[in-house]
Formats: sequence, C-alpha cells, structure tokens
Amino acid sequence: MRALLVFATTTLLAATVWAQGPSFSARLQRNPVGLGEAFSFEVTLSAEGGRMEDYRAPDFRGFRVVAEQPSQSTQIQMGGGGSFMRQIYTWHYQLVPLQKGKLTIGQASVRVDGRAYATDKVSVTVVDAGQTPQPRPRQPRGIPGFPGSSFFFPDLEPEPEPEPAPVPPPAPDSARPAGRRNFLRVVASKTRAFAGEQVTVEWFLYLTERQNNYAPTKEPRADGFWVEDLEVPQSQRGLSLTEQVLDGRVYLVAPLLRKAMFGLRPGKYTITPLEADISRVDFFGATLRSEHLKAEPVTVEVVPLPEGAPSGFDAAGGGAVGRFELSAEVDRDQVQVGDAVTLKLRLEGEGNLRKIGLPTLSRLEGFKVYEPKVGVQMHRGDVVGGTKSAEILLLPERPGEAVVPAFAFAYFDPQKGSYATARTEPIRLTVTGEARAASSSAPASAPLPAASGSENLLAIDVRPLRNRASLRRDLGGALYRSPVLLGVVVGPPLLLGLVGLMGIARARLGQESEGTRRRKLRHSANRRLRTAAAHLREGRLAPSLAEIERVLREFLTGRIGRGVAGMSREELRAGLAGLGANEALVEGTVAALDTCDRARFAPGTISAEEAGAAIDRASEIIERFEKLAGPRGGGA
Amino acid sequence: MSRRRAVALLGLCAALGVGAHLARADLLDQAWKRGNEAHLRGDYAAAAAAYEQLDRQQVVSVDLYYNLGVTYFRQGRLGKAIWAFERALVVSPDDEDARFNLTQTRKLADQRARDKLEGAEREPPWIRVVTYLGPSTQVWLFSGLYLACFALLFVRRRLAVDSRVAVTTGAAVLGVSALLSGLLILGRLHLDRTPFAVVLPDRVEAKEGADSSLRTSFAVHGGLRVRVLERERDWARVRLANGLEGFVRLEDLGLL
Repeated sequence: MRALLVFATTTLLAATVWAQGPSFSARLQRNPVGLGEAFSFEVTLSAEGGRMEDYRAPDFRGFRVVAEQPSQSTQIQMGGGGSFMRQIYTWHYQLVPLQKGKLTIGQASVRVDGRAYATDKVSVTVVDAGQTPQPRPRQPRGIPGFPGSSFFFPDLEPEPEPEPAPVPPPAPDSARPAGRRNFLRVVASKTRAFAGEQVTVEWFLYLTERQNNYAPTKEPRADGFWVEDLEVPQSQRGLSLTEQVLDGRVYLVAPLLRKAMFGLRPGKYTITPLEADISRVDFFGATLRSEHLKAEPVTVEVVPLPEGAPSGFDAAGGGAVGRFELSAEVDRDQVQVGDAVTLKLRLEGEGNLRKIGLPTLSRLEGFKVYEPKVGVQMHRGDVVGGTKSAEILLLPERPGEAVVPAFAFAYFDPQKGSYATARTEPIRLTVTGEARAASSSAPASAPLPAASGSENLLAIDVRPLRNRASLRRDLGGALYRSPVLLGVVVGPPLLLGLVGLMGIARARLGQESEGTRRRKLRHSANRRLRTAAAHLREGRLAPSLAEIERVLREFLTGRIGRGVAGMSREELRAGLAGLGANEALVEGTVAALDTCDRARFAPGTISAEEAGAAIDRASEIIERFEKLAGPRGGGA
Repeated sequence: MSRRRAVALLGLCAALGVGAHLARADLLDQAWKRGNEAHLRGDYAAAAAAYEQLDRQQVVSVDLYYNLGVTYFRQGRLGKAIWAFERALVVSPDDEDARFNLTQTRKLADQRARDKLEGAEREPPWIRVVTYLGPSTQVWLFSGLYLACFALLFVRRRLAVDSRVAVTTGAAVLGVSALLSGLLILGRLHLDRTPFAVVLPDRVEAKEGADSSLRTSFAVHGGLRVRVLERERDWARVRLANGLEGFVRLEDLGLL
C-alpha cells in the first residue's frame, strides 16, 4: 500500500513538473574567468512541443566568440500519469574575455508558439590570466552517427575524468608554421639517445576553432626503432582538448599519438611526419570546410653504449637499457622426491622488457630442470616498463640439500650513464624421500628437460592407448539412459499379467465349448433319429435300427465321457447310474441297445412296429438324459 | 493377413534392424580405427576429432573415454583429460588403467595450479553407495535379478501346488535383490539431476550470477570436480566440495 502511495505521488509530481511551460535559461561554465582564457556559456530552451522561432543570441560585448554550436534533443518520460515529451534546444558558446573587470552577457530571446521568452543577464568577472582556478579539462563530445568524429565542444555537465590529457611543453615560435591557423606539432623527449634508451615522441593537434572531424591520413614511420605505443587519453567520442595560448592566441590542443621508441643500432634516424585531415560540418552533417595538416619530421641520433660493459651484459643482443630489479623465489623450500618446486624469477623495472632476456638456470645438481614459462606484463605510462617473469619447474630426483645459485642481471642505466648489475640471493632447498628411477617419457604438455643426466628419469606420464580392432561398446551403460530399461522393468509383470488373463479367458472359453459340444451332440442325435425314421418309412428296417444304435452309442459316449462300444452291460449300467439315471431309465436304455443288437445279428426277428417303437424309445431316452445333470455339471 | 505374411513381415523388419545396426557398428569402428591410427602417428588433433565424433554419437565405451583421455593428455589439455578418465571410471569403476592415468593427470595438473578447498567435505554416504558400481553393472545386475524373478514366477504357474514352495521362495529372494539393485539405479538417476562435472579450461572464473560482466566470486582450475546444481541458459550454478557456489559457463564444464 505504501509503495502504491509513493508511486502515485511520484507520478503526480513528475506529471506536474513535465506539464510546466517552456523554460529558457543561460548558464556559465565558471566565474570568475581569466583574461584571454576561453570558457563556455550555454543557453537552453526546454519546451513541451510548440513552435520555436526567432532566436536571438545574447550580446557578447567585451567577449570574443571562439565557437558556437546549436543542438537539439528530445526527452521522453513515461509514467502513470501518461507520457511527456519535451524538446531541448541548446546553444553552446565558447567565449574569450577581451578586457578585465565585471562584464555582462546580455539576454538571449526566443519565441515559442508566438510567446516571447528571454534569459536573465549574466555577470562575468574577468581577472588576470592565471589567477583563476584552472578548469578541469573536459571530455569532448562527438556527434552521434559520425564515425571517428571528434566534436570538440566541451560539455558543460560535469563528468568523471580518467586522467588529464598531457599538456605539450611550451612551443617555440618555430612550432607553428607561418600563416597556418590549425597545425600538427611533434615533440620528441630527446633527439640524442643511447641505443636501447627510450625516446618518447608525441604528436599534438592545435586548433584555433572547434572542428567536427579528425582523421589521420598517414601514420609516422620510425625505421631503426623498436616502437611501443603509449596511452593517449581520449574521451569516448573523440579527442581530449585543453586550452593553450601561443603567440597571444588561444588554441585548443589535443594529444594525438604517443610512442616510445628504442633505437636498435647507432646512427641517425628520421621519423616521418604524421598527416591528418580536419573538417567542420553543419547541423545536418554536410562538410562546411576541411583542411589537410602535416607535422614536421623528427631526427633522432642513436649513440652506442659506452665501453666497459660487465660480464653477463648481452651486448650482442642489444643489451638491457633502463633500470631494473631482479628477484627469485620458490613456492616451497622443503619438498619430497618426485614433487615439483616452482622457481619464479622476476625482473621488474623501466626499459624495453620485451626485448630483454632473463638469466637462465641450465642445470641444478640433483634436480631435473624444465624449460621456463616466460610471461611479460608491460606498463605503458610515460615510461615503458613492467615485469618479466619466468617460472622454472624443478623436479628433485634424490634427497638432500641443494642450493639454487644467485642470479645476476647486468644492464646500462642511461640516467646515470653507467652499467649496473642486479643480483638475487641463493636459495636453499631441502629434498626428502627416496631416490626414484626415471624415464624419458613425458607428455606433450611437459617440455623435455633442459639438462640431461645419466639417470633415466621417468616423468609423470599415462599408460598407452588401447588399440583394439573394434570399438568395445558398453551396452549396459547405453541401456542405463535408454527407454529400453523401462521396457525391461515394465515388460515381465505385464507379460505375467497377460498370461494370467489368458488362462482365465481360456477357462471361460473352455466352458462355452462344452455347452457347444453338447448342443452339437443333441443336434447330431436328432439328425440321426430323423435318418432312422426315413429308413423305416422306406421299409429298410436294418439300416434304421443301425442308425438308432449309433445315435444311442454316440450320445451315451458323449455323456459318460468314455466309449460305450467296448463296455459290458454291467459297466454300462454303472456308467449310466453315474449320470444320475434311475433304474428304469438304465434298464430301458440297455433294452433299447439290446433291440438294436438283435436287429443287427437277426434282422428278420424285428418288425416295422418294433423298429418304430425303438425310434420313439431312443428319442425319449435322449430327452431324459438331457434333463439329468451330467458329470461336468451341465444339463438342465 | 495370413500368418505366413505376418511372419515374413516380422522377419523383414528384423533383418532391416540388424542390417542398420551392423552398418552403424561398422561406421563407429571406422572412426575408432581412424582415431587410433592418428594417435599412434602423433596426430593428436586428428585423433581427438575422431574420438569426439564417436562421443557425439552417444557411444558409451570405457575404451573410447580412456583413449580420449590419453589423447587429451598428449595435447596438454589436462582438464579435458581428467574429464575423460573420470568418465571412463564412471562407466567402469574397476578400470585400473583409467584410474592410474587419472591419478597421473591430476598430479601434473596440480603442478600447474592446485585448487586447495578449505573445509572440503566428503561426498555423502548415499552418493558413495550409489556410485560404488558403474551404471552398466547396476543395469545388468538389476535386469538379471528382475528377469530371473519373473522367470521363476512363470515356472511356478506350471507346477503342481505341492511343488511350488521352493520356486516361490527363490522368486521372493530374487525379487528382493532386484528391488535393492533397482534402488541403486533410482539413486543414480536422482544424482544425475545435479550431476558432477569437471572444469575443462586451465582456469575458469566463477561469477556471482549468470553474466560475464558480474563480479568474480572465485577462480578454479582445470580438472576440479564440481557439482552442477542448476542450469540457466548457457551458464551453470556449481558448488565446490567446500560449499562455495558460483556461476560458470556450461562450455567450460564436462558433465559426468
């Protein structure tokens, strides 16, 4: 709730502020200002829409307008009360006071939607040059959309400054080419230097008025020198400007290039000039005028180093020139056989460290010495320098005491004009454990030892490749992330359940087939009885009775579950009794079968009437047995 | 469809499946041989490329991981070598060669830079139990016990009631054993949700969030074993053995 309240209040306040009418104001960069020193003055109009017209600049009486630059921007704010858009018009002026005392900058005026607005008059106190606090150099701002542009107008808003731009030394009269307003100036820290000594060469751009674009067209070339680029302070959008008075004229000065040069061999060498184009553009980016600038060449004489170099000074390689300190340390001074010690050698100082070699440790008794891992960290301030280090891996091979000898590094100090030597202290190492056998095998990552001994040192290595004819795959591992494993889990219980269900289904299907079988039996009996009746109608008694006998035997076999053909009469009676038949039915059935037997063996003893009665009796017997419960629980 | 046609169709499918399997195995063997030959003539870059091709095809093989580790070692890529040997040991924890090579590689990596974790704790007991056997062994053990249990249950159905006791007892014992081995697999699957990984480059800076512009929490070196807690785009939140956590790029990690 509280957050909601704060949000609503903030939104209303913002809406109130933004809903205000146009504001028109003027402000100074600083006050007081020194006579002849340039300063900034800015007029700003902020209006929410509306038509701006008829802007009149202030009366700058007593000032000289060095530069003038209008700009326009749009600010949009969105909030709960709606969105607000304002147009910001700004006129920047770079002014130089022409007289001392209290001066007044007049009113600026403008019309917005027909209504006139004016700024207040601004008073400026002008004092003698050098009596005012020096303004911090300001970062220039470029024009968006202009690659490489450097719009040189300082911003009035304070912004963080990384470090001040280097100010060129006071320029002699010859520094400015005659008749030129804008020019490039080159400054060398010295024109005579020892071989290997740093000479700093800087190029500056001098402008009498602000420009929009600067583009170098030809970089300087320095044959005979090892060149390191030095840092040049620049703003994010362009060059960093300071003001400088030369020949009574105020210049805007920007450092362009700084290079540290180290002469490689004695002799006279010329550094070719820097060339560049500068231009001004209008509000829409069209070029108003451009100018090609060219600096002067610089000649530097490189003199040889003096005689009397100490031993260890690498004169053939150019030698180390500068000022250096050397240190050495180990990561541990007590170590076991087989465990490595890292010796770190560190050379720190001013000079061309890239080109300088470090002292070496070729061998150490009782140790295997690996090739050093060398690294360089350069600092590119005014003087090139930094740190060069070497890490040397020492592998103890046998127990005992060992001493890493002192290292010495000879160099020439150009400031003192003499040679010097930096030294380290010896380092004592204690090795414990038992001596080991050794091998020559080492991984590609571990360099081969620099020193070879009579022992065969086995360095850290791995067992060899497995070169089988075919790739042995791990099916179990593949199954682990495979859906097949889920199949293995789910499959067996599913199968077991399925088999169980099928058993139940089969049992149920079996019961149905029993009923069907009995139905079929009944249908068969009926069909045979109809056949017997047909035979009888045609007067064929024997076939009729044979059919009756067959129907009885088939039916009874089906009910009893055993063939009745081979049964004795007693067995038949027992079987029929087992079906639940009473004695009359049993005896009637046996009598019917006897009648059929008699007709088969003595056909003439059976009359047509008896045959018809046999058919009726057989039908009745079947019907009565149908009504009895059978041995499998069937029957009505 | 007649039974004869159905059988013919099944036979055709089986033949196609077997044919495809054999063709794939042949391609894999070719890449395997290519890698071995390149390694033996000292072309470790070509060897690594061939082995990595197999790895990308999801081939699970302790020999592949082992050879990959040896090749990385020869190239001086110790972080990757450690990862490969660790993978070999995940598949086959009893592989003596892989264990030896892993120890050697770690020794060499420690000489370059060693990450000493203050307050590091051992892995919890359940992780040690779950990872005691390789996934392959676990799968075979479980499958064997499980299938044997159900085979006995099938046999039991065919037996007379009075001769079922022994078979039922056997099925019960097998079932309990299968359940225990199945729990091991479930534990490993749970562990895979926050898997272990190995730092691959020589040095990696762990950030405070999934953005390279954020402050560095700490730096670790190649070969260090970390645990991946979660993944966020192409970043992973990792935890060290001493509980420190930070974000590193996924490409700098080799998952185990």
